[in-house]
Amino acid sequence: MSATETITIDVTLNGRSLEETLPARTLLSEFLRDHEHLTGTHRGCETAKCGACTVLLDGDPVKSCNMLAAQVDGKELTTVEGLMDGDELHPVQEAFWDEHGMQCGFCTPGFVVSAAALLEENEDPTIPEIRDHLAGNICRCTGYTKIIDSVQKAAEMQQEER
Amino acid sequence: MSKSDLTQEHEQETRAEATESEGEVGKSVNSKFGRRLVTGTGQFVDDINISGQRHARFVRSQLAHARIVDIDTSEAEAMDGVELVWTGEDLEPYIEPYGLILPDEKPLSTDRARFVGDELAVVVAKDRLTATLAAEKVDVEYERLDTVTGVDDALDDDAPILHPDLDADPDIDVDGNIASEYDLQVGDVGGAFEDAAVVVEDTFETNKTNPTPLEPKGCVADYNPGEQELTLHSSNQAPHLMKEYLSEALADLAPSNIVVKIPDIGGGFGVKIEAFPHEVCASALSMALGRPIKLVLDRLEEMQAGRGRHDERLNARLALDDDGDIVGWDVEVLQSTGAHASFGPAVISSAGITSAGPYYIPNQHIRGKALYTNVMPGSAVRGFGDPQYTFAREQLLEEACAELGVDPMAIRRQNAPELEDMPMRSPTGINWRGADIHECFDRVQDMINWDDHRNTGRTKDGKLRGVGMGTLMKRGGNKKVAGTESDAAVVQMNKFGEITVLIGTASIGQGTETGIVQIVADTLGVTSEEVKPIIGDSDVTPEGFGVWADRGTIIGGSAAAKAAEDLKENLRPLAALMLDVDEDAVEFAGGGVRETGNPNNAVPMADLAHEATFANPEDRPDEMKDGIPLVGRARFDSQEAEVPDPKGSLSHGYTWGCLAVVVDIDPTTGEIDVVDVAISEDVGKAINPKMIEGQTQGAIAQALGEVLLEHYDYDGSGNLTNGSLVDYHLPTAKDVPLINKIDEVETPDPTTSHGQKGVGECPLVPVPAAVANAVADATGIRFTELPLTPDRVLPRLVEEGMREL
Repeated sequence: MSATETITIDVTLNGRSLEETLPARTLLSEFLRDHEHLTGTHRGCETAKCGACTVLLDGDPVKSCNMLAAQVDGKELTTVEGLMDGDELHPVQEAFWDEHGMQCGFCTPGFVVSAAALLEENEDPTIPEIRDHLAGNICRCTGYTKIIDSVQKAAEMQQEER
Repeated sequence: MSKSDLTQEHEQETRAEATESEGEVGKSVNSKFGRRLVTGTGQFVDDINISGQRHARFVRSQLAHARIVDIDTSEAEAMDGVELVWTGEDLEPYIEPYGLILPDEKPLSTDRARFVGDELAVVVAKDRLTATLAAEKVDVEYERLDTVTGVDDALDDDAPILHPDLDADPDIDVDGNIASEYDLQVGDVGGAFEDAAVVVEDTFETNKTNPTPLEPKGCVADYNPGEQELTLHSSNQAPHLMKEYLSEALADLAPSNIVVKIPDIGGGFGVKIEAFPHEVCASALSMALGRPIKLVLDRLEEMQAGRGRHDERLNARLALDDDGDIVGWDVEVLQSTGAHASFGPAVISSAGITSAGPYYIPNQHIRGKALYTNVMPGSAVRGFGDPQYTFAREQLLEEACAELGVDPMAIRRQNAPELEDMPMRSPTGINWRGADIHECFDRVQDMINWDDHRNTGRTKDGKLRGVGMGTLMKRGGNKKVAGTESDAAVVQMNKFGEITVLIGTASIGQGTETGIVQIVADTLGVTSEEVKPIIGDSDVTPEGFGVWADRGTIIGGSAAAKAAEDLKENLRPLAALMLDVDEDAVEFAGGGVRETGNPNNAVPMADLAHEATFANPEDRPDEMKDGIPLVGRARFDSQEAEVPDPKGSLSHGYTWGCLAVVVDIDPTTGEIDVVDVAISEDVGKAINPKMIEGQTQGAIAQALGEVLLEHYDYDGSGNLTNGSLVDYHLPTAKDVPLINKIDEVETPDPTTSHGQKGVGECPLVPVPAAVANAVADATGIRFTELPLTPDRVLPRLVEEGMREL
């Protein structure tokens, strides 16, 4: 692959369809941050370990620092910015704020999208299930207790809505 | 329990204020920055892009210690998109040697490489990828030198000297690889140990770790040649200090020509205070090129060169008399400070003054050496030397109690001063006031069910169970060498009655800005929603020292309270006029001003502001005609903190407390599982209980990572073998327990605005000691080396016949 080779991808990004031509080597995280200005997707380790770059690919959490943009052609992507409904916070975002599940906020987008995906699959997860699901994300500030509280609170909020 | 009159009076005042202001202080207010952070719309340094910027990238040393023979930059320079490649020689005209305590740093080394990851050259290119690829093409020719990887190597007679120039300089107290020496002696240590009933001694080895804020450090430097002004956007904890640091490191740039702007910061923990090579280099490059320069580190760079906690060896002795009084504390610290001294000498000395912890020990000798070694420099890290001293002290205390056959909890209580003994001076000159660790002991032992776990043996599933304790007596708000510990604040109102508080702090996630907002709101009688914090801009905010040493809420918060009071006094005459009452009948409450006790005669803040800004002054009395300031200002300068010599009360205040953990050890694998944690600290006044819980949980989890998982693994040649997050395992949600047994004591500090004390660093301090003591309770084995990983634990279980298959 030469440095100048390009690819064209069709994606649905936060509900919006778009077609982009990019250098073939573009990482998914670079595409989101540098091309689409979705800077809520953060780079913490660039080795798929910390999870700050987690986004949803067809609803499943993936680490965008470890994928090429080319791999998402024809798929649906949701970033932390896409969780909001107009001005309304997603219940997971609301719960992370209220329960103080974030401090510096750098890891938060990754946890929020990952937790949102969990609650889509499992509307009332147990603490061990939450821990298992979030073990691919690192937070250095909270010690995780309030993150787990936040996910439980979000689950309650979503159940009340239903 | 009796309390000093001063304390009682302050408590009454605090209560009175709370009633008047409807209690914004003490409420679990949500983070002021939370909405942007949960939506991913915060702005971190890597999110900043300035038109015309270029990207810089370091070339780093592959060897731990080598003379630099030649750096060939030609191949990199020839690449498309590369603007320039600089070595230390090119940078030389722009910089001066600098360093926090010793002038032992240059952003690019010229003579030699001193650790793997040392910055040797810098590439500037059109984008980050090109800069990265070009940096790999820079060819460094080295001549290998012997490496100094630990304190024994450093002190060896034949050791290579890392900084021969400093060693030879008669004006600098560097001797060989000894960067600094410290010696503090009080009482008669020799006599105390001679006459003691029990003397215990041991050697403790603590681990080199990285607090690993999840956001790597970075900056965008933007020099305007017309203005001759440098604007540095940086992930940094102390915007005003950075002006000084940068002007020291950059030749011909005065602090008045530097503006520092701080975006959202993805964690700090102490390793984002000093001027780092990327900040100095990017600034010099921007000045040379007249373009913005962006330089954001990656994780490998952070692991190799981002700085972290020092590993230390502590040769320590503790002496008790027949009655169980601790009579002697004697400790020698050998600190592997790394290739540059940075904060290292202060980590020994600042923590040395408080190294006896919460115990009154009349005879103490604390000695230490910061030693240059060919590893990543250490820096300031949450706890700042206390976890290391505490690891030694609390274990020796338990060893001594075992020899005397007494209960260590009884000895802890016996040797810790009571609230009614205060105020008092500790033997090393610490000013102790208003702290109740005895209440903390009671609460923690109760929460953790101490007696159920102590000396009890095994769990139902065969794990070895134990419970252990650690204590803390931590500095909050330190005196600078220059002689002050202060912050200023401005509280102002616009024409709509909207209030802002401007303060020189930074937000690294700890919530200081939210606490300060609550303090201002409380004082002005409005809600926290109505006050906005303005921080992180050295041009906009008043002078202050930033966020470190647990100072933000005690020093900055007290300044903000004074500034809010000042605003009140400026508004009072107009308020009295509008309410048609005497000035002393004006009350600030309910989102505006009102006649004291009469909510029916009230004016909202917006109306007051409108009257001051838009109404015709001719309708006012003469003394108000020339303008009503909608601004309050103040500086809070600590009258408590002292410059130690070498005794003295370094800090504004001290937070006392204790923590206990329950551990289960798997006798088949040697794995330690911390299954429960309880903590109680005397925080003075909990400004925001939810945020205190968050800081406490985070600090404990961070410490558990350091105790159980993390350490820098250098091989004999000084290569870091675990420099990625794959190999350096940080705790995840599956590795740490839920931490909910938090019960804070509130004995107000009469010298701060609301009685508040430092919080953020404290809970980390006792954790390594508590875990080691719990392991000893479970196994009878004393572990003196960190971390407590299975490869250390299992062989000892085998030795003691406790291993099971």
